Amino acid sequence: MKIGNAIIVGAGAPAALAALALHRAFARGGLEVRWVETPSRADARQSYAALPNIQSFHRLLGIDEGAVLRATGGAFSLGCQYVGFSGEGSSFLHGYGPVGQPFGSLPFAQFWIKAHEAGMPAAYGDFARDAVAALNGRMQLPENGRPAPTAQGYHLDARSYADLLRDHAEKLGIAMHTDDAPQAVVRDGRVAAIRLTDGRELAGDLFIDATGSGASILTAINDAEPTRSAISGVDRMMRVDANPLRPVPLYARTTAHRAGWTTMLPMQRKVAIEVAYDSSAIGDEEAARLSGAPLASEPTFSRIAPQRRERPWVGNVVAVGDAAEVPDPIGSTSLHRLQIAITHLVALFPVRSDTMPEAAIYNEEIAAFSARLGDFQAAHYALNRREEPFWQAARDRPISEELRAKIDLFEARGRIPQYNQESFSEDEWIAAFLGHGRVPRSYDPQVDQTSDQQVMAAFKTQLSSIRADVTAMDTHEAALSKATRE
Amino acid sequence: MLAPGKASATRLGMTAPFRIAIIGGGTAGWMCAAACASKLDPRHYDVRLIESEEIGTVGVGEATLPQLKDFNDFLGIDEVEFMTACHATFKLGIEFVDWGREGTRYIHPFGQFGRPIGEAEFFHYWLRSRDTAGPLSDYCLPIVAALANRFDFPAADSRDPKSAFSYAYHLDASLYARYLRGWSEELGLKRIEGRITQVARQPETGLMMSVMLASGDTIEADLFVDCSGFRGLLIEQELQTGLDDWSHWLPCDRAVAVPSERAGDFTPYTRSTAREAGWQWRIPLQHRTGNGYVYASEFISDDEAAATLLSTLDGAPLGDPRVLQFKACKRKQAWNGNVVAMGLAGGFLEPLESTSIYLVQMAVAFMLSLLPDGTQIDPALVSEYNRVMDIEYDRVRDFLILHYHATTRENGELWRHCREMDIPDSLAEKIRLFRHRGHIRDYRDGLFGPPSWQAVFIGQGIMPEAQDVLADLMPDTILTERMASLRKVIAEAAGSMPLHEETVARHCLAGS
Repeated sequence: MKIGNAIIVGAGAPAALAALALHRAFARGGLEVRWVETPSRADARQSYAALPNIQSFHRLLGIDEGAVLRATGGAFSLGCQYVGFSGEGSSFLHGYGPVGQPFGSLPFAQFWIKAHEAGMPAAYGDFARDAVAALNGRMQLPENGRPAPTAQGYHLDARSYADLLRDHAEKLGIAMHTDDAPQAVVRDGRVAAIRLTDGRELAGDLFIDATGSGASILTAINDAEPTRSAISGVDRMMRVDANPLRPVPLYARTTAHRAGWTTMLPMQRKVAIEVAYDSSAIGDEEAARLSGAPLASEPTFSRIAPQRRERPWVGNVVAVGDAAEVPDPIGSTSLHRLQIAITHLVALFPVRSDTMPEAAIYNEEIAAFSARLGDFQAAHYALNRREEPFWQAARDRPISEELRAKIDLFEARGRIPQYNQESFSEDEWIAAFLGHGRVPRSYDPQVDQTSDQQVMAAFKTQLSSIRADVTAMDTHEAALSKATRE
Repeated sequence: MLAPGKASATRLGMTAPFRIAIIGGGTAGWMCAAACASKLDPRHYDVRLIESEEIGTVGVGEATLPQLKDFNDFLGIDEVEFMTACHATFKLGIEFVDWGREGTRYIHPFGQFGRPIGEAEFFHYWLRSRDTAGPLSDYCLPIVAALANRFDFPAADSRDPKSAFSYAYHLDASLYARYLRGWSEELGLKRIEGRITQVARQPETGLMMSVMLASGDTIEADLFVDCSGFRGLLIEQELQTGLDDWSHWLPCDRAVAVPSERAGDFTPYTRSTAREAGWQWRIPLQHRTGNGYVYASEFISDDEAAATLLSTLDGAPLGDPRVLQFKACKRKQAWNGNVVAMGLAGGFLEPLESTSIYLVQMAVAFMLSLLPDGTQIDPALVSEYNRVMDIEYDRVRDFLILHYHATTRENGELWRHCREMDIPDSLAEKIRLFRHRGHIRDYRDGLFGPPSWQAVFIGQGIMPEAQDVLADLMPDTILTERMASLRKVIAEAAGSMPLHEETVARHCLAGS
């Protein structure tokens, strides 16, 4: 009745993270975790951007931050800068932390809107400690029990990250089988076992499909076609490495070009570059020129075809990673999606092997997470102010009702409707909307109960405290060296 | 920094003050008025409340939720003054008697069950050890304290076991409205006495323009807050906004109410006792006890209901029973055009979980933060208001239906009906997941988090078949020891609290 074993099929970080998470959580209770590794199905991704909450996820998996940064040559990241979306020269930084201090029950942004309207020059982002720290190349790790004043994620090399996770899985004693063509054995509409190429069958209760966009295990019991879910005209990507920047920037940068965008993810020993484009407008040679830096490796090219499975969990099979969804590449959300999927799987780990009603709630929550995160990505396309046909078309694409409501309420009042399963805070949405050139037409009338003098004094205090805090922080190099010390 | 003089006299582009007329002076009207009086700048917002002494008000229930304290704090109301003025007592939860089946009782508390003792939620450890660990209620401080008629304020230090709860009030709602009136008028809020006889709308836009009083005075406004009660003078009689009718799920449509002399236990909780065709409330105030029988008129006559009520009071009745009529419903768009309906005009859900005043305060808070500042009302403000209020009503609705549906009571046709009726899909899914593994989904917005659902599910006899697998990982001996020690800590903490009566006497006793 209880689940005795779980079999992960696939390769790369999705398979490794699923194996580690299930093993760490449930092996104590007797769960046997096996991993059928399919080396040839490792995806083309060369890098990951991780949001700050990856750290608690890694802790749960028993993975040490220093080991991750050492093994992957990764770097810290406090946010992502978007350049040129509101026309040449425009830019803003999406920092991963709160912005400003609220006044009682009223959000900071409402006071900022009023002051901005009255001509105050300080930008919204000036009140974002993380964004200011990022632009100044400063950050601070938690020290002596004090929490970190900045919220940092990472930029990681995908292949060495996957290798690190795989080593960790082996060390923990997770049973590994290498096989490039494992097949699902279906009985009574459920997957009963995985048949290896040599004919052996591994029977299991629960199967995790991390086999990539084809989802070969899930599709054995569910023939529903994935939904195409493009939010932009981007259909091709060039991936390449460039020489490292010194000092290593503390944020990613995504720069719009005439038919797509280029992202740079700085790391310790290289910069990972992704050029995403519409292949009907830009050829591979032009893409190489759009990388914005001299190339230090041979570029690889791949097709981008965003798709999503309505039900990543069917019967006793849960698809994760690209098997569940291939997202639009803007904002590098893959690792965050994977983390959400796996933490949900642990929280909703089925209590019985013969029936899994958990699937319904899992599918609903994952879909909501995906939709809200997709809205944040879609906003970068929908709010652009560029003239090229690619960008005009991006503005004309339909957007979700929820994103429409966010934009409309923001423009009306500077507020963001928040739904269940949001990945980003109201502050982050506001920073993005302001960054894309939208300005609210009004503010909360309760703001007027605080005198302008009081507000200005509070603003000055906040700005100088951010300045002082940032000045006292470590450089990225110092933080990396502290974090990677053996 | 700010250019001096700019933006202080007028809001962005505002040329004349924005005029708000609050129609009706019950609890909803005065809560809205008080918030406007204290939170809006009178140079930009001209707010008046119109009420008529001729029209009685319906006290929207005398039991509240802990959020009312937040509302009072938000306005800057002094708790002692407020409690004294409203003859208020403290409330740690609601006791449900005979709901799951005859002879059972449980408390839905304002607090958590247990404390974190491992990587799973506490509730799942209790599920695992329930055969030996005793009842769930033993792990909840406000329940243990309530059953001993004890009350003390929560500790501020989150490590203190006495910190894990909050409290609400039992109060005389008409005294609360009167208190808020005095409080608002002191802040300069304009009250207009008069009965509304006519309403004028702009012919082109259909927007409300003015109301005319019996005196012949006309009052114009840019926004009308309809607090006129069930009839919905503007939102329904004028705009015909329409209702989502939920009476097929919540068939109770009447209540008969009577106060009684204070007698019996001075409980720091509301009691709700299931009756043949509904349920009866008991709310202890300082000077009297509030009582009422909420019933479905399809299953019992008014006279029978009144007779049942009078025969089950624990003190002598003070006056004749009064019958109220209602219907479980929500206004389709509580904000329609330039009319915002709140209180009974916005919708009605029976007082089973003391949500009426909460729904008003949410309506007021959302309205303030989304208030227009010009006669062109941005539709984005309206749709956000309606979205968040719909969520509030929907969440309460599902929770109320659960009380009627999850029962094996024998007595009463009403209960058979509710047990067998179709329920909303959202609720059916909740019940299925709870039964399967004790899982309760948490939501960003709206009332009733996991502890509330756990209390009612378990209290009404829906027991999960399994628990979160994470809770299975703790060794038996450690689990047994942690459960026992927690139970002891809670019993001691509750035992050290003063009696409810003592706390009221010391803190906020009203004069006779």
